[in-house]
Amino acid sequence: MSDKSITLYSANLSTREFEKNVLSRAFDTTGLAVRAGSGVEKLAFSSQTAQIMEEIIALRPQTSSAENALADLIVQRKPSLEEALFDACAAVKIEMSRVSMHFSKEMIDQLTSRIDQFHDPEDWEESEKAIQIQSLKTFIRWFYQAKPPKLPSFGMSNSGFLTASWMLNGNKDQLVLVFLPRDKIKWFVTLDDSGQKEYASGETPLKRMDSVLAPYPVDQWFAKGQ
Amino acid sequence: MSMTDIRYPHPPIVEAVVEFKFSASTDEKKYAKVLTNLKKAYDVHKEETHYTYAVDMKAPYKEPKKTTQTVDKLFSNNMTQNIIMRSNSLAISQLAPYACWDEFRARIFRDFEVWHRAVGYQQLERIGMRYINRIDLPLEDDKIQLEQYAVLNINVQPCLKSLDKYSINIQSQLKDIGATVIVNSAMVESPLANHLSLVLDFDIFRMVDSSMKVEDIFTYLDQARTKKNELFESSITEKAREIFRRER
Repeated sequence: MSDKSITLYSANLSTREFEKNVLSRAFDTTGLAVRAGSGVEKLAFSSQTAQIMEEIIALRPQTSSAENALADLIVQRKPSLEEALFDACAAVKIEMSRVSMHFSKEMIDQLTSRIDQFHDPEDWEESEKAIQIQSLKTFIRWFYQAKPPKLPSFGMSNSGFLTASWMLNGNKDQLVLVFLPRDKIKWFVTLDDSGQKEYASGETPLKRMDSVLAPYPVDQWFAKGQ
Repeated sequence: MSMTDIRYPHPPIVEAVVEFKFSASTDEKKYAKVLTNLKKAYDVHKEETHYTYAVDMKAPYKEPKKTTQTVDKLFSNNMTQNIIMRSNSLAISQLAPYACWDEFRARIFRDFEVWHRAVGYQQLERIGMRYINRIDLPLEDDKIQLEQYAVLNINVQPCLKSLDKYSINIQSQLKDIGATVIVNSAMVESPLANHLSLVLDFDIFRMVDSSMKVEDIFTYLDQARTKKNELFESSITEKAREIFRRER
């Protein structure tokens, strides 16, 4: 058997904190070596980190593929609110970068700027959730398909789902879309016909959105200059 | 205009990276000076510490060998321009949207010059250039006829005709520029509905065993980029080109 290397990344721990509180746990778990440590603090490991830990444990029955599958363990203290909100906004920008060849700079700038505003630490409520990337991915897939010429007003639900809305008729006619994970979209339509209100809503898979919204004046909502 | 000079309005480049690896680590003071100066050109700074523990499996209870390295990452506000710095390397990256080589090259030169002015002459060990392209191909009858889009292709037996994913890895020598290229091609899930993505990843690197002046380094980068363009253009068909040649 050869030497094994494990590379452990620490984002915001001092060396002393890292070795005392993290390294002893890592080695203890793998059974490779035990280092003395007392008063180990419980640190917040993400689910991704937990998966990586399992891969390290798998080092014990040694096979060539397991030897080559040495994983990096990324360990960090639970991020501060500012760090968490920054990371959420950064993830949105990186995700939009991946598809930027398909969308206008105007749309991307408007969306990312609004996301930044929604994640202002000074206005953040404890009950709110940061933007969910899976919601953004549903939006990207819908927007590419629908290609509305007029950009929506972007919003975000308390659960971290991206929303997009269009208004007409002095804001009396509204279309609101809430982008859920896994290509599901909640939609809400409000129409005002000379004071007579009509409401409709549903939750629909992405591929059926065109047919579900067909009875409504989508072309007018999406038309520029409206 | 040759194929290597073509500019697309919306190139399918998702990331371009140029990395300079030096044969020795820079001293702390000079490194700190580089970091201070580069921070002026970027908006966000994040520091990481990488710990590497080498465990001797024959004696697992022996103290593992430990090395630590600080990694500094600098980003633009929109996260598309970034740098990863270590005491012995500098990697300059551009995420999509990729404007053009001239613009990327100017930033590489600017940031390399910051390093060079602060540190002085440093022997290079390796110069790497990597371009990752992703072409989003529309499904036709729920499948992709790969040969319609990719010259770099695979032949599969008829019973595997419906291809969900594949990957190819090729390594070859580029003797005319003294470099090696690793080409990765794969079919992966697309961020767009009803599409699959063709990934073409060109990693061109040169091991350096003698001193290089700055102008020689950048002449080499120009050559590597031209070579990358030749490889890219010869890997795809006209039908693939039409996809990202279109205006939005």
